[in-house]
Amino acid sequence: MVKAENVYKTFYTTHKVEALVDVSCQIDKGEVVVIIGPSGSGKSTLLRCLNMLEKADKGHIYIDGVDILDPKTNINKVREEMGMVFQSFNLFAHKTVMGNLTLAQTVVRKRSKKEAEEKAIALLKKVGIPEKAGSFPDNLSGGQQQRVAIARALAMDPKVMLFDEPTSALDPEMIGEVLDVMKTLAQEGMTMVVVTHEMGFAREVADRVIFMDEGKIVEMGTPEHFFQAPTHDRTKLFLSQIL
Amino acid sequence: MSNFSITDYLRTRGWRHISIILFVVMMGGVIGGIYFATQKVEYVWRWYRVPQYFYYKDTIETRAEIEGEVASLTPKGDQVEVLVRGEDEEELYQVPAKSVRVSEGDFVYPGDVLGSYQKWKVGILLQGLWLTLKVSILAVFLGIIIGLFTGLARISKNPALRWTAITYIELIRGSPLLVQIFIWYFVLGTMFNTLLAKQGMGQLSPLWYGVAALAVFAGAYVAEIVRAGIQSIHRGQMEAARSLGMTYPQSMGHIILPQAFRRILPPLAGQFISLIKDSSLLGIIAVRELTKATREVVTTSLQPFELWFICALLYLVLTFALSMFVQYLERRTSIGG
Ligand SMILES: Nc1ncnc2c1ncn2[C@@H]1O[C@H](COP(=O)(O)OP(=O)(O)OP(=O)(O)O)[C@@H](O)[C@H]1O
Ligand SMILES: [Mg+2]
Repeated sequence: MVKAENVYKTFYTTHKVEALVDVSCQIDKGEVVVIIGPSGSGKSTLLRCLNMLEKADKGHIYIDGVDILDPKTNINKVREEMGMVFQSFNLFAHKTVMGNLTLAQTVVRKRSKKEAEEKAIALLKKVGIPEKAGSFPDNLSGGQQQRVAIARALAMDPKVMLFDEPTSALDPEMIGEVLDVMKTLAQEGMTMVVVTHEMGFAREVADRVIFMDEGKIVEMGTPEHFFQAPTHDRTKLFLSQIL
Repeated sequence: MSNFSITDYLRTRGWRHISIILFVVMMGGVIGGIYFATQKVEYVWRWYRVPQYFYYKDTIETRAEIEGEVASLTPKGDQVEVLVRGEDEEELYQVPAKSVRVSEGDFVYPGDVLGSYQKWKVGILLQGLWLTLKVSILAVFLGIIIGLFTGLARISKNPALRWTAITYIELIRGSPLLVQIFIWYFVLGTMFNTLLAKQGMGQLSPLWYGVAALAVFAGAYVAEIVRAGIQSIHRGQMEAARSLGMTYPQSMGHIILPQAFRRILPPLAGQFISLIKDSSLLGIIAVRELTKATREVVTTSLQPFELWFICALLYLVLTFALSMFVQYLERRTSIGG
């Protein structure tokens, strides 16, 4: 479903930052993969390379068999099939919740307004806030905003969902409501790549866990393997700090 | 009432009242001062002469076009039909009954007045105001289009577009508008009109070179305003839109520009108020806008004091109307935060 082969990404700002170094991984259909690692280890960069919000310097990334780094690939078509949820929600501030959910459906998927709205209502019910359809994002709590953001991504019927620390900007009491939505999604068989510091979620929902450090994938395995018998010292150190 | 004191009064409404009085006194002082000074130089105010430059009654005379005899006068309602019969031709004229100056049997020559009527006409100041308005509206409209595209080019990833935009913006902002107007009219205008003439086509009037100069000038500033507005929108908005599969133009059109528009409005209004005022420079290339019209009227009427005040007031009316319109837009677009 998603396959990265020897991906490199370097940022040049004041100094050179090697955000991704020879990263290879594969996510199969229906799999939930959780990426963990210390701050600055390249987790976000990897996720953003997967839908070309960052362009990888080198290597290959295949989404559903399509090489997205091939200049001939229409990246917009690929992105239609991938949902992304951001740490800072990024809801469209000038549109209502309904507007947020229907815009891409009508503009990109060319659905009728009625069809898009029906879909939006169904998804708002699914994430538990159908009564907020007419509200503006500013008037919602963080947890509600993030659930709307998830619904907005789902409205496009994506084949893969990418989550970049979806609960990091939330007050503790709101984390649960967002994680619940994500768990439901996982149970329904959605292919998911989740960057998170929520180890409970990783343990409970993940099929596989990837540990990254300094732009490299250090260790990859089942949650049982990770939380009971990690092999690398870096992993052990990280887990001991975070658990 | 017993515990009312002057300090209480001062602390509550007193300051407000004193400020209002102070304001009135100062305004009165300035106006009175100017009036007093004009008295000293023996200037005679003749405000009653001003309205005629807005709207006036013109007497239009109907003149005979042939030589001949007035054959008949036929009343028709409050009009009279005057039939002039010459040697081998006849002409029929209609004039208001009250103004007939000939009688049956009179012999008239071409150019003789048969009668006259009066008609309201738009005065030169109103014409100037209208031209200023027209030039401003055209330039604002073109300026927005130029500025929008230049602003987008300015932030484009394509170096050719970006550098073109930067060059244009810097060139325009680095030279005086007056010089640019001269270049538009005397250099580009001459060139273009000569080319047109060689193709056997008509000339473009100074008005259009004036509009072009103003629009291109404003466009450079609008471009910077647009760029700043777009860059003030959090980049997460663009990323969210793109991650949903929207193209760059779709994301710009649906997400970024509508949000930027709200922030752009106040500086944009300021820019266009400047543009209205800058249009007063177009008089130098023979566009008879409000300032040029005022100058012409001043030379014929010899009432400069009244007319220049009126001129300033008319600009104020235009700029004030624009501010009001923008405030209305701001209120409309801010609904729903
Ligand atoms: N757009 C960018 N420009 C320059 N440097 C960047 C950019 N994005 C990321 N980096 C750098 O690349 C490295 C990896 O960043 P990344 O955001 O992927 O880390 P992360 O694992 O997601 O960290 P965090 O847990 O803090 O989100 C960091 O050193 C970061 O400073
Ligand atoms: Mg990150």
